[in-house]
Amino acid sequence: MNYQLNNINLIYDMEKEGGTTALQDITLSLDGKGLIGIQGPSGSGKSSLLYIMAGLKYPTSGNVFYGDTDLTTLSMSDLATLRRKDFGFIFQQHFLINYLTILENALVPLNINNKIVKKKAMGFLERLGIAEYAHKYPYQLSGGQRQRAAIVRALMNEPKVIFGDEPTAALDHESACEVMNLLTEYTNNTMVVIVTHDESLLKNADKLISITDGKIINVSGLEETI
Amino acid sequence: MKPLNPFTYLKNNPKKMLPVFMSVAIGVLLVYIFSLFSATTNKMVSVATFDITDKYNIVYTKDDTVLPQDFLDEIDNAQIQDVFPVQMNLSGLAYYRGGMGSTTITTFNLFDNDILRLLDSFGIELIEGSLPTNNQNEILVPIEFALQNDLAVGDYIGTAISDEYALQGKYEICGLTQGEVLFSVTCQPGNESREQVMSKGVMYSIDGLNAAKQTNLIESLPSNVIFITSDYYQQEFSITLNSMQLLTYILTAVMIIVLCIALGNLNIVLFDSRRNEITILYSIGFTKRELARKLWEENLFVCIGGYLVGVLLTITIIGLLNVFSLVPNGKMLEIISFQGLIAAFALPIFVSAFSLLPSLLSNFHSMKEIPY
Repeated sequence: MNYQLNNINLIYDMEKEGGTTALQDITLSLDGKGLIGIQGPSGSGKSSLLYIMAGLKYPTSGNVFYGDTDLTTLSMSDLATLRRKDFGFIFQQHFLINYLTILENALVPLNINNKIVKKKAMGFLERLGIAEYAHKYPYQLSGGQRQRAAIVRALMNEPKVIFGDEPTAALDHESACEVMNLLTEYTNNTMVVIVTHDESLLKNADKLISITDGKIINVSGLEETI
Repeated sequence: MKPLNPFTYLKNNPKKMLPVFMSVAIGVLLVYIFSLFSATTNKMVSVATFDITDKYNIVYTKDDTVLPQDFLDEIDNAQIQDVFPVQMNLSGLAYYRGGMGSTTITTFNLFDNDILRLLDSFGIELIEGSLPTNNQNEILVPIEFALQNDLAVGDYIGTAISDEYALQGKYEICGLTQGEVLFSVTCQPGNESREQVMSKGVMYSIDGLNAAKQTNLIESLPSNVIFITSDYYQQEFSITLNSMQLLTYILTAVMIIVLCIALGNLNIVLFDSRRNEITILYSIGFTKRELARKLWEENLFVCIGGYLVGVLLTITIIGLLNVFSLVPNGKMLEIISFQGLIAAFALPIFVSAFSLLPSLLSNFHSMKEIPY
């Protein structure tokens, strides 16, 4: 599914004098698959851009087209439905639910518990090397194992787009590379959008968007519009 | 079980839900106990009054004059199953059941050859002693009255024995009865014949008489005639019984308000501790409505659990109280009250919804912009 962002502006605290500009005149088009990296220094607006693309924030102005759908015209409820249907999320904090087992956490997006989905989840867990922890709770696993569990959860609904907001920030470099390699495996049919400040993790990115002070300063790897 | 099934949360977080569970259980216990006291009072009034007028109407003159002949003829012609000459000239006996206040057990002054038929018609059994005989100052009392006053067959009651009695004179307890309806019976017709007594007071079965016929019989009676019917007792007790019912509803409402405020604050704290969970569920695509429903269902099941435990606890406490303390003393509290169960059920329903509102409103509002 293609993305088209037109003249996106995001200003926080508009009621205060001037507000804080997080994104400024972002215009961008992306096609439907591959690894998209968004990088930039802390506070540059990269996470804000990701949340706007994911329908987790409304921009102050501009349009976000996901296919033919303008996300800015959808209600919060419709956005939630879209996220559940089409998107997968991996956050900086793994954000697993602590009272559910790893397997149950994987089943959360579908909220179904039958043999078929359990088999599917176990397949993902196995592929990511944490099948033996399926019945353990998140607090019994290491950071890297929890992040893999979060990836399994993100994959369960067979998303068209996977969003990762600093998904490797809590991991050591080796684990981080491992997680990125895993995500890269899904880029043939899926768009994987990763926000990170660690450029070395995006060496396999099909597109790399550099952002500073809320503005895109560079898009490398293809012919995107700035 | 689905991962987001409310029971999954409850199974894995029993300690977090314990305060809500306990609060509702205690609230239900208080409301239901009060309801049982209220129901016991209702039952006490019923067994001593309404249960009698459900089977018999009693008509007599208050000035010892004779009843209108038309009325007596109609009684004759109506082919009524049981008609007893009765004198309503004796005071009743105080009866406590264990609820609130006391009531009076009616003392019927009958002829001795009518007593067995009257007892049979109510399914009352003579469990000890014998039936009273005419003009022997003997009285038949319910076992409950005897137990409450530590009396046995052969003991005497009446104003001549103690000022605590309203029954004038001195009567020997000749027998004890057991049944669902409570009244005492003595046989003091004096020198009056059966016909003479019948002309001044009559107790007649209303089995087979439709409501219109019952009304017709008594509607044209003069003002010196007293007729004891269900309506008579309804007028006498309705204000008291309705007040108690109202009090149950007020107590329930107060309990709901108190619990909603207390648990509302508690739920804000609980919700705050689950902020990450709610945020992630919202992010991955669960709508606010779905999340609110999940939280409400969890709260509801905890409250329903509290309700069931509160009811069972109340039944256990009252049951033990009955077995070990009240029944041996001729008293008994009700252990089931459908009105009480319904009133107490309002607690989990309202508390589960309203105690959640403050946390939903404050937190869901701020979820417009998710703080990652």
